Amino acid sequence: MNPSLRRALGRADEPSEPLEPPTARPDGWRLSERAHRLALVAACALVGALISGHAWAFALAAGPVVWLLLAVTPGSRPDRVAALTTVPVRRCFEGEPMTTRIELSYAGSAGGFDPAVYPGPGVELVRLEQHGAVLDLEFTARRWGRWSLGTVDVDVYDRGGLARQTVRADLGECEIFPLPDDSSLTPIPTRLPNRLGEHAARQHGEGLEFVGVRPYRWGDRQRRIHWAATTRRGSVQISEFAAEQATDAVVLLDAFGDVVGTRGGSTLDDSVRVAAGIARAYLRSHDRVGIVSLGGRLRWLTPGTGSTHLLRIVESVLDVRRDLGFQTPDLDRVPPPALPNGALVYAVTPLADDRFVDALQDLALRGNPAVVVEIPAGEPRPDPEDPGAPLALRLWRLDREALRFSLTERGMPVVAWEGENTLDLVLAPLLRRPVHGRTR
Amino acid sequence: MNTILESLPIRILGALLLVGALDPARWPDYLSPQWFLGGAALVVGLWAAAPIVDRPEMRSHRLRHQLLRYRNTLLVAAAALLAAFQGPPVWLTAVEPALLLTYLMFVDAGTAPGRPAGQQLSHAGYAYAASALVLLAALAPVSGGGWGRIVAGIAVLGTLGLLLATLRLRYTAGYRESGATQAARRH
Repeated sequence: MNPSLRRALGRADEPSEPLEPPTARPDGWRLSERAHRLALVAACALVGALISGHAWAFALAAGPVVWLLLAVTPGSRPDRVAALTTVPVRRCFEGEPMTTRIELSYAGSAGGFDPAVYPGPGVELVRLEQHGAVLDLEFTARRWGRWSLGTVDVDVYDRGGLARQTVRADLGECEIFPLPDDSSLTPIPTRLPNRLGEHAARQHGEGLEFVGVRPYRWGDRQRRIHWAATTRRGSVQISEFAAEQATDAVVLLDAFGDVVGTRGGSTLDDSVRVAAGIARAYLRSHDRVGIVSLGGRLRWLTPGTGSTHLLRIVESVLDVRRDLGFQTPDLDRVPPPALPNGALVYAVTPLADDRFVDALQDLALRGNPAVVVEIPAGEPRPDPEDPGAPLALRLWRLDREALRFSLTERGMPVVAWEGENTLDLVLAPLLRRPVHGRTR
Repeated sequence: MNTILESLPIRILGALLLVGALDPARWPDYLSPQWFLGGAALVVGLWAAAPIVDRPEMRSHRLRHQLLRYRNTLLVAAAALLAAFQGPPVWLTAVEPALLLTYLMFVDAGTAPGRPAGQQLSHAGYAYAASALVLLAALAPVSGGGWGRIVAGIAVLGTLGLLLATLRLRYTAGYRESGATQAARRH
């Protein structure tokens, strides 16, 4: 790690990140470490010389005393020290850099500047540059969410390095959008709403996908005559095509809990990435996509379409986690206005909370076709000294299997996404036939 | 490993400072407790002399943490205190203040921000001169003989001259005045 970064962070060797900003610094000027050191050395040498009576020991004190006298220069302290913080961009995707500039203003002259950076949870300081009284910081966030960028305490020293004053700069908040997982497949329900789109429906219509031939009826267009069938059957046959319709998809996000996934990461992080990937795939097909986040603060967005709708969806789910805090769930049922009739529901969940399973059962009763995209939670770690631990672990696995089986029996296929493969591989089996739910 | 190699010169400097404070010139030729004490001082000096580059912020009130955090300061203060109780030979009385000032200069250069390099060097020069002058005055044979009064007078005059030079340097160092001072002067 860069030495200046290490000094600014000051706690790189400590494993845990502070969740709270540091307490307020004392106002006004106070002695620096150098002043304390020189004064202590001079005092020790003087006391020793006076007690022992060795005149030469005064030479040990003379140097530090002269240093102190030279450093105490009138007018060497800056007045009215203030910090101006500029954050040009507060919204970005995971892993993208965010630059912050802190400009220090003061009257008079100042010595050096010694910044201490306390990044917020989920935010990492990757670069720190100092150009005079201007500090350039670069942060990056590895996880999506609405994070506090952090706090910067800048120690402003006088010209002699004997005194320092701390000025605090609050960097505010930032919004980190999740990177949607790559996905292009869009399974559809059995019944599509009567709206033009790109999915071939079961109904006959004016689409491009050929579904069969039928005898000519009065009013049929002549250009639709299937000449080969007409010649074979001896009567005029008309080509039939499938209607192309759009679908409504609603992503149901399980935000009841955030557990450790199979790869050691957060299931909520992966859930939102999967949700964003599904939403992006359907929006690319000009379908309408909505989202409901259950658990914590209830947020839902009615289905909409368009490229900007993805950002609205992602922004609406950022509130499910605020600085790794916890919020009591508002509601454990899907609000009816958020779920259009017949909309295909993707429930993205680690299946770790019974309240969400209850919500899925409620969903099944409504008759909406639904798919459960499971973000597998990590297995519990058995105690190696406990003889019953392997049996308990086996029971836990069987219980999970039973839960998946019961959901499938209710008409909700369960697919598991472990983060290693693309989402398309997980959703591909759903393309064999339309998702029917409880309605066949 | 690189960090240890980079800080090796200043570690050796600190170790020499602490060992020198125990007056090694008077240690007996045979194995005695002084040698063990000197060995311990060498080890402690090598460990504690490396400059601490962390920011000066209070992270813990535990004594162990405080000792670790301020070990540079404690090392040099302990060396000054120990040395003051010794009556070493003349060469060691010259070496010990020089080691102390050199160590302080290196530690300040690495850990105290806000001081221009030129200023550090000039201030260090004045500190060396002051220390040498006081040492000369302390070692001068001011009692007995005809030269004693002359030497004592020169020492007093030299100390006064250094004090005046220091005070003059304080006010004519060429620092830019603060806005408040300039405004007060205009009115």
